[in-house]
Amino acid sequence: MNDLPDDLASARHEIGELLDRQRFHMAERRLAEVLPNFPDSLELRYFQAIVEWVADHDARAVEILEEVLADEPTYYDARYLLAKVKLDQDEYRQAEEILLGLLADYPESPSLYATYAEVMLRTMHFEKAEALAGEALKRDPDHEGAMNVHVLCGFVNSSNDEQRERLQRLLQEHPDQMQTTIRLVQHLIEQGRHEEAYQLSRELVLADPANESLVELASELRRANHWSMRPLWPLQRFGWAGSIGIWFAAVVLFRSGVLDDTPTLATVLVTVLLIYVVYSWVWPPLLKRLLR
Amino acid sequence: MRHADNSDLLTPSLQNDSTMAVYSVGALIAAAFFGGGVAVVIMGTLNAYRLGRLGRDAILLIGMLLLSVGTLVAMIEMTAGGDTARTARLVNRGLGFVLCGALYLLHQRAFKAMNFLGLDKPSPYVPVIAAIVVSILVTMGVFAALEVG
Amino acid sequence: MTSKTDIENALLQDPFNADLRERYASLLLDENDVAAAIAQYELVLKGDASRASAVVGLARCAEHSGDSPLALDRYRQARTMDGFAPDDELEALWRKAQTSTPQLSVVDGGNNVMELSAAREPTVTFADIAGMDALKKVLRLQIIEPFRNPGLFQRFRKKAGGGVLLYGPPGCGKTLTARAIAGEVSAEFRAVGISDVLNMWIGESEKNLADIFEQARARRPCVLFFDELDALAYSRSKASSSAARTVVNEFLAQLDGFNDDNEGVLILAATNMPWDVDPAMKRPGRFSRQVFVPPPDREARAEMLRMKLHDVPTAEIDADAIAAKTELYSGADIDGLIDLAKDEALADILDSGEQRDLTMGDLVAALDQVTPSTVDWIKTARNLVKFSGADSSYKDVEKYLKTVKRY
Repeated sequence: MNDLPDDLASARHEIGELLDRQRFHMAERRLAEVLPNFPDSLELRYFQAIVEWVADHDARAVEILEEVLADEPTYYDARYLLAKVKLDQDEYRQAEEILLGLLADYPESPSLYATYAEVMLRTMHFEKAEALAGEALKRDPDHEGAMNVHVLCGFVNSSNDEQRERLQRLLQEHPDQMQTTIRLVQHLIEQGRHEEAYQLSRELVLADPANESLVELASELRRANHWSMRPLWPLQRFGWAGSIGIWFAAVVLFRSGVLDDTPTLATVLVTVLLIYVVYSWVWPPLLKRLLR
Repeated sequence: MRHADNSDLLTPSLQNDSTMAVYSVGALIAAAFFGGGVAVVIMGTLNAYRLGRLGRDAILLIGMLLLSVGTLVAMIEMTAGGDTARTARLVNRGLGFVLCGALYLLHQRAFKAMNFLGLDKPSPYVPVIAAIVVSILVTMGVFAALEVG
Repeated sequence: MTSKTDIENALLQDPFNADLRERYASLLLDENDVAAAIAQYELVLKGDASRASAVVGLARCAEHSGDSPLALDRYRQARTMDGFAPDDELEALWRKAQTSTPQLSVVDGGNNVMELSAAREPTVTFADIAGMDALKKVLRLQIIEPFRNPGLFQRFRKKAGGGVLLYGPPGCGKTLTARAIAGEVSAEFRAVGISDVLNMWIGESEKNLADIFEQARARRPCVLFFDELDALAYSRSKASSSAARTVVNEFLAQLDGFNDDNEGVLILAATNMPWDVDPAMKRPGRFSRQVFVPPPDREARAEMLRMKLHDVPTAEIDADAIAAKTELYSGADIDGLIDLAKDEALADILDSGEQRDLTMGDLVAALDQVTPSTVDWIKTARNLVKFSGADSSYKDVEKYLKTVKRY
């Protein structure tokens, strides 16, 4: 037996480990070294597709995966990755088609149900998403991906109590996973608890400072917690309802006639209200720029 | 272990790639502020269409439209001789906000999904401006019709 | 008594309440859910690494899973911390360990022992590193002198144990610095790359790791250097495969065990991405000392330019002026700059047919074509400092960023 298969096995192992640790550049370098020696290796080509996908070269990743699947149409990992790339490209119909094909072959896979649930959630098929997330959890009650989608479905579909219950389970089972923290931050924002959400978002940036969406989230929350945003608390806490409330209160106050005898006070109040409106409009984006 | 039959879950649900993201709550509020009830109903109709639930929401939307026009007519009649236009505008705006709330509740899962999944919202400028223009035309039409009457 | 569900509910309301989380962890441990208890204690320590009670909790977890050496080690660590309160069971174990005689262990080399690559290059010392005086001073105080002179540091009750993690942007000489540290303490330099551990024998990464430590002990004085620690000790909370987590666990166990017998061995590691290193790696006794290796300073860049242009025919070159314009350039970027300048000069010679030396103009022209490769790292580090409220381990980066003009 020659030693090439050993080389291939060892390269596959090493590149797989590098990808698992998100060392994509190192994996790319290793692939460039070994792929010319094993151009027919499906696994190495699949790894190459992962590297391209991570580098946002989705079209190239699809091209490689289609070539791999032309050689081996039943290759599970390649099919699953293709579905995920399609999901990233917002090609939901194709993602659904691939996932349904996979589910026909692997009807007991919780990951497939969870991913399909996410497709359904993104395309606003709420009941189906919920049912699929439930199916995923039926197959593996502790599956992290399934629990995550279940929590997302809970945010969209369920009552507050049910949301909390789902989140609580995720926190119990996977307390140290980043996705869990992200869900908790979303929950806290939803509850208007920006300060706690900000503390947690800082943890997220500490764990992955290169992730721009996490940095953006922390930056938004930092702004929301800035002292100069305190006067805008009603708007931050209640959103549009807060704005409408202020408008309604102002209309009632000025139209009720209680200020008719005190025009100076009325002028002062109108001025304060106008300043407040302009402040709420101009200051937050300005502060965001300053803080970044 | 095989689980209970879920074949209905494993049938395709998508005909195209569109996420059919809805116009944001902010767009609805802008329509309410500048256009009142009619503009909000137009935006709500567009969102129902994007969600593929126009048939389901049709009766409610028609009811909201009739309520908007009816309130306008009632206000003009009730405040005849006074500051009719200003009062009608205020009430129309207030009604617009109330209808915003109702439409938010009706489509809240879509709004929440967009928030939690970070989906891109469609640009609201053209539909909001169009809804406001239509609403103003309807209001002017109602005023004209009542004056003629 | 408060039920588990009550505590879970309370934690959801107040996720930062460390006391509550410890109670929860203790409850989980009582229910024999050791893994969940460890996760909770780790969370507490993530928020406040100095909580002795959480370290005691981890020791209890280790004892619960039958790993008495690890339990003892953690308990020993907890005993040195402020706010320590003894635990009856562990205290008994501790006393027993104190009175028992040291045991000899037989090390089985096995057939597949990995041979560490010894550094064959000539010895490097700080004299070979241009500039970077501030960094050298820190390294002398934090690494070299404690290694050379442990008695002095002990007299001042200054802890000197554990490894040292060098971190900073890529291409800025972390490996060279580690090599120079070995040179300064006159020890053999043993470098371990990720391939050495992951690629030797499939499924035996953990064994390779154990072998590496064993060999280092056999070759003291020795500097054991782990390059790209982030890949080797990748944060378990981010890794999806259990294999990656197993390697980290083994690494932690080796580091903990190593502290008992580390005389003459200095453990160094380098990483471009310290945030990807498992937080447990940075606890006391492991890589608790972290040193930021910044891009070369102005003096270092000027010296590099002089050294690298030494054998090249040059006209009058103002290395200081070029150094002033190459803020954030790494050593590799300086190489790239010189290469581009050479290309400019050669192209000109070929076009005109007239011989000439490399000029200041060639270097200035090349400046426009080189973007410092450290920029991405600096941006990420900036996010870290600005938005994460990073703990004191990144203070040096914060200080450095304040000196960088373009940020």
